[in-house]
Amino acid sequence: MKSENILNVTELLILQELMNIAFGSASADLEEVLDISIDLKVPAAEMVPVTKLKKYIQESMALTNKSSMVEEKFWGDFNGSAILVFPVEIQKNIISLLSAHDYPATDMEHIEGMDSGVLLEIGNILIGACIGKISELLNTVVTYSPPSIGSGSSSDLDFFIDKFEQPSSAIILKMEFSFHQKHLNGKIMIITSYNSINWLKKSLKLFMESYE
Amino acid sequence: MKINKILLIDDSPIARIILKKCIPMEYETMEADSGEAGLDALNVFKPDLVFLDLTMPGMDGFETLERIKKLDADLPVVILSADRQKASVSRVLELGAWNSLKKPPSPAIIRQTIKDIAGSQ
Amino acid sequence: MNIPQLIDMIDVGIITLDSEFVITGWNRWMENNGKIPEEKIVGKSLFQEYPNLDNSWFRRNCSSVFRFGSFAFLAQKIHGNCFPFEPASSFHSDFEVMQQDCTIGPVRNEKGDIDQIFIVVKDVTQIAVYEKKLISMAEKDGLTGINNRKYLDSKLIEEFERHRRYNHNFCLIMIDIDFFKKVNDTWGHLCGDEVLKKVTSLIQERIRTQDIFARYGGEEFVILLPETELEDGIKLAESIRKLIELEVMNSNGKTFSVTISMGISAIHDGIADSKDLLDYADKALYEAKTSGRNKVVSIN
Repeated sequence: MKSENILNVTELLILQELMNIAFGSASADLEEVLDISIDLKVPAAEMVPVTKLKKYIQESMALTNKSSMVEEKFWGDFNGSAILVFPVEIQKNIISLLSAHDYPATDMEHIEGMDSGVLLEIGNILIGACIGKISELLNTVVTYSPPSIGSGSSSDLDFFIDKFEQPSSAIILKMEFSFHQKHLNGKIMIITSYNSINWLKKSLKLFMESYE
Repeated sequence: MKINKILLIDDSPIARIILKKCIPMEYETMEADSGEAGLDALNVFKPDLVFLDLTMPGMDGFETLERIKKLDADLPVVILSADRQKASVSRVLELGAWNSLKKPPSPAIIRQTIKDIAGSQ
Repeated sequence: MNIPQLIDMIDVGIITLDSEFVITGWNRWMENNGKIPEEKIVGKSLFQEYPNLDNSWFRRNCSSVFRFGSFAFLAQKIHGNCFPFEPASSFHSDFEVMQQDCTIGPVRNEKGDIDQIFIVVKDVTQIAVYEKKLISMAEKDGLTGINNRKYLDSKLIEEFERHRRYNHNFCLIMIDIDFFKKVNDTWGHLCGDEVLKKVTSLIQERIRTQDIFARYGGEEFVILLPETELEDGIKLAESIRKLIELEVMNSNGKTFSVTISMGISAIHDGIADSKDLLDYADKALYEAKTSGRNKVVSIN
């Protein structure tokens, strides 16, 4: 790995502070959009080689076959994938969270489809809020592909990781979220692809230079 | 109120660097990387103003603020945090914070805030 | 060719809205399918024209686009459609309205601020039709057209879950055509198929709409009776038994009749799972078979 293609400790710290700012402002806005108070916390930025990505995600997201995972790709100067994981036991809670807000009446026979619909919608909004706020701070604009849903199973994860070019390293931005009143929590991980590292280095430098 | 010394309490070294760059050179500053370290610094450094982060591991900003106010109710504390939830903002004001500013800080707002505090009774 | 031209030529609907949900753009696809010309709808409130969209999930998705510059995806699978248009082709008889996937995204002004959003509407009726067909193929028995075993197994698990949660009772009838092998051997397999079809259609007409009737294997069938006590299940089984016994079958110029044996069991606390209940009914069926056939035996 060439040294100019990895983030150094200082750059990771700047990124961590940016995430802290971005997610703080995202929670305040999400509170209004979702009408629910939400905490986004414990942000951390790390570099992980793609070859170790699977094990890293499985361990740090506490994935099991029963987890639900929403994945969404984003494009632009800043590009990569975001995954959001819900532990399995909270799914019914999530539905009540949104159905209290008149979710479209779905045929009860297809409750399974509705489960994933609610997860996709919540996942999409949370991921969009986090990525949107980081992009804003870094002065860029991203576009998104429709989110997809999977379990935390090994094969679903393989499918997801195979999309990252090897050999390379990914910058991982991760954090936890929780909905106050609903005792719901989950984790979000943003995996930045290798080809945006140089842009990211430049943007972090510009961000700090704006205070000179 | 005369302001010479400013204490910055934040666990993130980057956040402290950014804030320091926003504070004009004529002020003397001291950094503390945790709520606990900040409280220790009160006696040693005797600041005229404190900038305090809210989300910190160990003693968080709310508790630090409460303790500072118990030790010195008149010492102005400005909250500088990424946490912009309504509940957090109203809680720090109740706890006696002078003001609650959002991260990232801008030099203009920091300078104005120091001026406002200096001009108050 | 410039982009504004393309917007009118592309095969998807494109709408733009301002932050007050006033329509600011409406492409030709929307004109054609919505049957409203651009000049008549631009400047009007989206919710006035499409009140079905004036709900919290739609507003929630739009406000997240305005706030975060993110995208929102309203999938046909969950929402069916956003704009109640007629299907573009008359072959889509399965759906009375066009099925749509909609995407909502930000539109930025020169300063980079999001002052409008766009909605892209994609007609996915044809895909939805295929999907419906595939699902039905996966759940139906090819010969008789009734549900297959896979479908029954999934419904049985659901029903068991309902019982466990809400204490709803239900019964299960297992049916086997008596001497079916003999029918096949004597009259041929085509005749055997006729018998299977005839028996299923008779049973289908006799049961209630909420009952789940499935071909379980060869000449074995299962009826799942939700919200039914054992006595009522036995009554129904007995009436089905008589119905089949009295039916005169015609195949290839021959007339004959068949009988069926049935085993029935109702859910009770001693039954641990859906497989357990099937075993009970199977045991009852075995007893019906060994004690003379053409009868209903219950076990509890």
